[in-house]
Amino acid sequence: MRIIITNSSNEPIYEQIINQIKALILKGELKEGQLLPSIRGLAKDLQISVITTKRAYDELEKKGFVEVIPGKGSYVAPQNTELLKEQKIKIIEAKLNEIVEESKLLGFTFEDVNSMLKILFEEE
Amino acid sequence: MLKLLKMDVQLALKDKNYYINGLLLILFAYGLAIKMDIMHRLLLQLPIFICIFTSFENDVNEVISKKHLLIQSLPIKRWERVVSKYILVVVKFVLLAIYIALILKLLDSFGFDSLEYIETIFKRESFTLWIISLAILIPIMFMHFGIGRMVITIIVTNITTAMYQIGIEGRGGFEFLFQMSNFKLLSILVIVIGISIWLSLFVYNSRDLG
Amino acid sequence: MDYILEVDQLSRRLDNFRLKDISFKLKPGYIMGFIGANGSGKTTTIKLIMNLIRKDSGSIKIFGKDNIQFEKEVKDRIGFVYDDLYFFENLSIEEMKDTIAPFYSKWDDELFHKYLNEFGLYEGMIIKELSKGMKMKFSLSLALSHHADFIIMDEPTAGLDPIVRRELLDILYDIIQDEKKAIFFSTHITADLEKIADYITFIDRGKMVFSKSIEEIFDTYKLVKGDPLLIEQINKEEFIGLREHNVGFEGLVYKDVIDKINNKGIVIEKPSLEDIMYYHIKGNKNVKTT
Repeated sequence: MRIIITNSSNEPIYEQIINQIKALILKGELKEGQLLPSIRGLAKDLQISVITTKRAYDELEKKGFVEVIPGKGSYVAPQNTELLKEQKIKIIEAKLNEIVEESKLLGFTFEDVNSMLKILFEEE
Repeated sequence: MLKLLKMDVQLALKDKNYYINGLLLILFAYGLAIKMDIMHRLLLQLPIFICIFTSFENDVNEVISKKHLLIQSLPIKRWERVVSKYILVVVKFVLLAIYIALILKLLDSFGFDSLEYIETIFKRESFTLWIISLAILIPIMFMHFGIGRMVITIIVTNITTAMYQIGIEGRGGFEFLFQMSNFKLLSILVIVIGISIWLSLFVYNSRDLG
Repeated sequence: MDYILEVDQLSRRLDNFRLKDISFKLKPGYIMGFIGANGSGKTTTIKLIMNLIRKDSGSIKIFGKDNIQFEKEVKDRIGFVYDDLYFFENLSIEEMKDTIAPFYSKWDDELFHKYLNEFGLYEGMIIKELSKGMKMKFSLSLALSHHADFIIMDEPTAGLDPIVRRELLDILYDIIQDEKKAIFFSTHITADLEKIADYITFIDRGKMVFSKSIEEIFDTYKLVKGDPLLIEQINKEEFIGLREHNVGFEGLVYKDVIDKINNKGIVIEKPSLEDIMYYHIKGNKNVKTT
C-alpha cells in the first residue's frame, strides 16, 4: 500500500490522505475488509501528526469508505457499487473541470482539447 | 532521602580537592600554632577551616545553581535536601577530623609532637564554635548561590571565634557557654541547630532555583 | 486521568518579565510543541511546571495531581531534558547514571544501555568530553530509562545539527506510539514541530496566543500574497500580521477573512508555523517595508 504526501501542495495533508486511500479503494487495490495501517503507525511512517491521520480516517469513515473499530483497527468498509461508481465519476469530473477552466484561460476550444484527449487515450 | 545522602557522600569522597585542602589546612594550622600560643590558636583557627570545608561547595555560582536545578528535577522533596545537607556536614566533619587526626599522628611519629592537637579538634570549645558557625552558615548557603560564599564563610566563622575570644578575656562573649554543664550546652546547641534547620527549610522551600 | 498536563491561569512576575494567565492541557498519547520567541516565557513556564521556581497564582496538575503537593510522586514519572542541563562534568556516563538512577522507582538499566547503544555512547565516556549532541542524547537516555509517562524538554534541539535533530524526532515518534505517554517540548525551531507535533501552544511576551491542534491551526490561519495595488481593497485591520514590499504584500489572516477577499490575483497558501509565529509577533507594525 502506498501513500505519498507532499508539503508543497496547498491541499491539506489530511485531504491528500483521504484522496489517495479513496483512490486505492475505488481502483480495487484495497479490498473490502482489508486492514488499514493504524492511525499512529501511519502518522509515524508519514512523519505527521496523529491528529491529521485521525482526521483523514474519520472523514473516510463518514464518507463510508472506512470502518474504524476502537481497539481493533481501521478496515475498508464494504462498498456500495452504485456509490462507488458515483465516486469514480466525481473524481474524473473534477479533473475534467480543471482542464476545462485551464483551457479556457489559455484560449483552447473544445475541439482542441478533444483532439488532444483522443491522442492521449490512443497512446495506451 | 537516604539515597540523596548516599549520593552526596559519594560525590564528596570523590572530590580530590577535599583531601588536598584538608592537608593544607592542617599544615597551616600547625604552622600557625608553632608561632603563637598553641592551644589558643588552634582553637581559633580550626573551626574556621572545618566550616569552610564542610559546608562550602567548591563550585562557581552558576554551577551551583544548575546543580540545584538538576537535583530538584529528580523525585526529591526540598526538605530532603535541607536535612540531608545537615547530616552530610556532620559526616564530612567526622571524615575530616579522622583524616586530620591521622596526619597529625603521622607527624607525631616523625617527632613533631602533635598529639595534643588532635585533642583540640574534639574539644568542646571547638565543637561548639563549629556548630554555631554552621547554624548560621547553612541557611545562608541555601539563600544565596552567588559569589562570595567563601568570604561569607570566613566572616561568619571569624565572628564566632572572635566572640569566643572576647568571652575568654572576660568581656562578655560566648564564655558563658563554656561554663555550663555539658548537658546544658548540648541542649542549647540542639536548639540552635533546630532553629537553623527550620530557617533553612523556610528559605529553601520558598525560593526559586533558577 | 483525562490529561497528563493541565496548566490553568498560571502567572508569575519576575524582575523584568511577567508570565500571565497561561492555560493549556495535554492528553496522553500526544506531543505538544511549545513555541515562542526567545524570552517569551517558555523556559519560565517549564520551570514552573517542574516546580523549580514558585508560581504567583494558577494551578498545575500532572497526571491529575497537583505538581507541588505530589511533587515527588509526579517527578518519579517524568523524564526531563533541559538545554543547559548541568551534569557533574568530571564523572563518566556510568557514574553520572549511578548518581541519578537510584532516585527513580522504575529505573531500567537494560533500557538505559539499549539507548546508549542506539546513540553510540559508552559508559566510560567522561561528561566534559561529550559534544553538545552527545550530551543531549545522554540526557535523553536518562530521561527515557525509568519508564516515564511524561517527557518534558526545554529546547532539546537547540544547537544540534539537522541529522541529530531528525534522530531525536524519530525517537520521539517511537515513544508516542504508547498512547499512555505524552511529550511536551519547547523549541524555536518550528520546522521540527511541523512534522511531529499534535498540538501547539504559542506564547508571546508572557501571554497565551493560542493552544490548538495542528489541524485546527492550519484550518484557522492562511497566508495571503498578492499585488501591491490589491492591498487597497482589503481592510488592513483584518490582517493578523502584514508585510508590504515593493513587488507585493504578504500577510497572515484568519480563514474566514479569505471569503471576504475577492480571490482574483491573490495567492492563498498554507502558512508555515514560522509564518504564524512571525506575523503574530510582528503584527501590523511591519507595514510598508522597503
